[in-house]
Amino acid sequence: MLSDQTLGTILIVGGGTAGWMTAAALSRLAQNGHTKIRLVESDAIATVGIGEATIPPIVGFNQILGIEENDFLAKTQATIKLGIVFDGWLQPGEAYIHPFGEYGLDINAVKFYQFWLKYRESQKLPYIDQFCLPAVAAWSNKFLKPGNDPRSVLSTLSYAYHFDATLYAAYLRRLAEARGVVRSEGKVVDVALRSEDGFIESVRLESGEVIEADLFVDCTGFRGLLIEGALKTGFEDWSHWLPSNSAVVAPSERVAALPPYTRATARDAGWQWRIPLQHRTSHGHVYCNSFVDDQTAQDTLMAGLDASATDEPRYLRFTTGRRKKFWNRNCVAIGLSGGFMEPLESTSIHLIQAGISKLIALMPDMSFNPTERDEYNRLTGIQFEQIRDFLILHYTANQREGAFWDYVRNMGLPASLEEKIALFRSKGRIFRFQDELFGEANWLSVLLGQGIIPRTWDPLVDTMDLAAVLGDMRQIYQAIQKTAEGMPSHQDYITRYCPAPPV
Amino acid sequence: MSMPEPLRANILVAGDSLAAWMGALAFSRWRPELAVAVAPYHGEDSPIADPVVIARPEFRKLMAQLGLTEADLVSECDGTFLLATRHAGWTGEAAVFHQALGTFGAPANGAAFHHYYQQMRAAGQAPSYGTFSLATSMALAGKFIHPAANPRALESAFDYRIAIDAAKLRDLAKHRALAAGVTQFSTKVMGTAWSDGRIRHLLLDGEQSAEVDFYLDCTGTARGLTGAAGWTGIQALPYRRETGSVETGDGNLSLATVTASPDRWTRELALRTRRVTETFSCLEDGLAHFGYLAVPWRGNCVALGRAACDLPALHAPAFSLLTRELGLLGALLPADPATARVEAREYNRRALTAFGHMRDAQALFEAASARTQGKPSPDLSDNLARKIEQFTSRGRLVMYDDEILSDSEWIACLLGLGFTPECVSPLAMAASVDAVCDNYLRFAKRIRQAVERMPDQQTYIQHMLAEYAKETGPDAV
Repeated sequence: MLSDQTLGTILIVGGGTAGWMTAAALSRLAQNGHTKIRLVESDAIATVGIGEATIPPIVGFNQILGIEENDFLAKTQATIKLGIVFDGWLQPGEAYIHPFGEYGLDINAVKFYQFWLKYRESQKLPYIDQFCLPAVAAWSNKFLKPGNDPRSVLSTLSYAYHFDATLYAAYLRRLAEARGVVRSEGKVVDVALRSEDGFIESVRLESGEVIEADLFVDCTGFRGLLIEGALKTGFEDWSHWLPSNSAVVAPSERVAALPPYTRATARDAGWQWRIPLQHRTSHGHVYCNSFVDDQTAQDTLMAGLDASATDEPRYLRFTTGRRKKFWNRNCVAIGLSGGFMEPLESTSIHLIQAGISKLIALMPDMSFNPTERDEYNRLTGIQFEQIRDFLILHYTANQREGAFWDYVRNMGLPASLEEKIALFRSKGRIFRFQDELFGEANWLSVLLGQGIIPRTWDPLVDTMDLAAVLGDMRQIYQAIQKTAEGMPSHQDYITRYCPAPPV
Repeated sequence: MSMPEPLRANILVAGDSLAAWMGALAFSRWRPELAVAVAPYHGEDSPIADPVVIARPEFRKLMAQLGLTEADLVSECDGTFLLATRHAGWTGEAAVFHQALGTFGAPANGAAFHHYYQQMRAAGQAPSYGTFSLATSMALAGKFIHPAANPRALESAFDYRIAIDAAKLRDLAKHRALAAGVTQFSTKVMGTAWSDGRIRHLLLDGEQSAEVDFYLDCTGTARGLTGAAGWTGIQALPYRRETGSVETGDGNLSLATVTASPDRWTRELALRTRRVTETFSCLEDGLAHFGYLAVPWRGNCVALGRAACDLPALHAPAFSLLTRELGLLGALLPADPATARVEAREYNRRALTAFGHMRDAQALFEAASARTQGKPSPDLSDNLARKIEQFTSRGRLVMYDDEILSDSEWIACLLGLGFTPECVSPLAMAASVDAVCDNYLRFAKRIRQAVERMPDQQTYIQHMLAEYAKETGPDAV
């Protein structure tokens, strides 16, 4: 049942991962028979391609789009991701994992990790990741899809994907076009604004074609062709908290045994990622060029590859921060046009997904009531800040040497993060705010991994019988270890269910 | 003449209220090594303000920590399982709707049910919104079972609250607390000596004093330890509590009713052996009779229960807030409560958030009522104003941190009070109206059939009590 105020045309400017994810998701709106979804992109403009690693909500996004998982995994050269291994972030030689799943099970309504905090030394307990199925599976290169039975240990496992972002965009393009999205090839050379209210009226392509629309989605990447170029929205710079401003990236040959995790290795002035795909391994070195020059950064990257490089390195420059408004007038910035944070926690694609979900929930009509716009900006702003805080946490508690690490250890922190760390230090308490993306287990893994150990634990732990608690912990440990042992290897899983065609 | 030695303990709870004994029991369970004492307060008003308290699902965790069970509450405290509240008269004499826990309808194609419900209404094919709620349907039929564990079963799609005789729960908590070693002082608290933002000692009857590490002010609206400083009145809720009545009779145990008229509202619900009615009358004296403390944890003293926040009984806030307060205190319980600045700051932030949510849940009804009567809207918080604005614009429900009402309750109340979305999700609009009606009317039929198979609550409770008697009786092993 349509209102006469329903949007007629939505134009997505820019393809790439953001553009085609938006197009595929919005294609569902075209089923109303009235709203037209168009996308304009130019093959001449290369996409950034960062963001090949994802976090678990992507599984739900693909399901909503009706994507068959194994088909998608095969066609995007994808692998499974159970977490992120942080290597050398506390100090060189030490590694921890941020897994996608919970630690243990609550005992008498007290969080499992509180017991671990109390007994880890006196009872010589294994590190807490050994009580977490995705962590144990990741360390042993295993994977099996989680079951539906909530009583099964396997149901505690969550997962995400590593995939070739270009192939993912192509996959979604096929899907979106099949559902009625119209693609136009062309480079946008001009943006026309309405004189009466400054809304975007149309874009003009190099060919001279003018495309009008009611709502514009800016997926043009760092440039922000519409949101910044045309609407002069402004940018909030966060580089004082996250100073990295460059990346050098290079692919290498694939590794033999595919690890089901992303690896982030600390370097002298930044960090280096490794993302395993079926046809290649993606590597990138994120750094701050005030602390290291480009050539040294490149040398560091190439020395850290675990197989031969298959292409020349290429460089990216960025400024960490966010657009002052993500939705300005009749333009919504999704993806890098809205803001950028380094891919340390693989949040780039999630921010695209979250932007799309919010846009659908707050979809305007022709009246462009500011109610929707303001709420979109409020919610997206909160999400950016929450992710920012989580990223800063990785840096602030380091014990590494060097000017870069000294700087990030001693810089001032956002008050929201300071409070969170203080609460954890005091008694291991973690509270989730405002529907936060990263929950208790996520924060716990990084807080502990970065060596922030609470001074004491939940006093309720002291009221419980030691033998009974240790019995429960032993049972949990054994169930997790046994379940992981019984899983196939990640490589076997891929080979059996979703092998990609040879390149 | 020498002064008597001060009475000593680690924690002193002032008051004889439900909050006092729940607090004492909680601390005796959380920190058995500490000496916990309870002392009455000389100026305490009726320690049991609400004859009935209602425990929401959130209470289950605390209940387990306190060593209480549902069977205890049903058997010892006259408890019943409350599935829904029927609201009538808020926006006109004929206006009726139901508030219940659990799902209403089911989402489809990424859009929540209430979007489709709007389409059904527009097509003239919508029965009442509660028809699509299992809990509401069960409540109207007086039925009860516990929710199924299998999340795919229809019978898992609801939750319930427990209505409890407040005086009996207080007595049960007191009994358990004393058995756990809590000390009861016979001398009353007469006054408080504060200095540097902390309580130095309490003055007790008979020239005695008490000097402890940490204090709980559970003296109700007397706020005997914390005082009136920082009390924030709520102008949007211009009510006064009137005396309730208690009648024998059983009736429908699963359903509460709230009936509003322009100058008052009355809540009626059933305990196991009697029905209880409470009335709140509207005042136009310009005074705020209800409100909350802006800093419930100050120095080495925390105000709990009505000492911290006193609201009318709509949505039964008293016990929900006490549950939240004790849960927070448990989660933030420091090794040395008296020096816990970080914990106090976090406690106050979150307690105030909870107070605000409850205030807003009540103010929503006032706003709807005022709108219907053509009166100016009461002052609404930014959060509530945003919630109403977002919902009426696109049917989007804004949920904040630490909400007490569930999303399904908010939606039922918003729709029931006439806050109808101007437009619904574009995902729902893409569906055919005929298919929508067909699907959801079949869903409602499944609910009706499931409810028919369930026992009534009287029978269910009788069976439960028989089992309880076997477990706790003299022959129990």
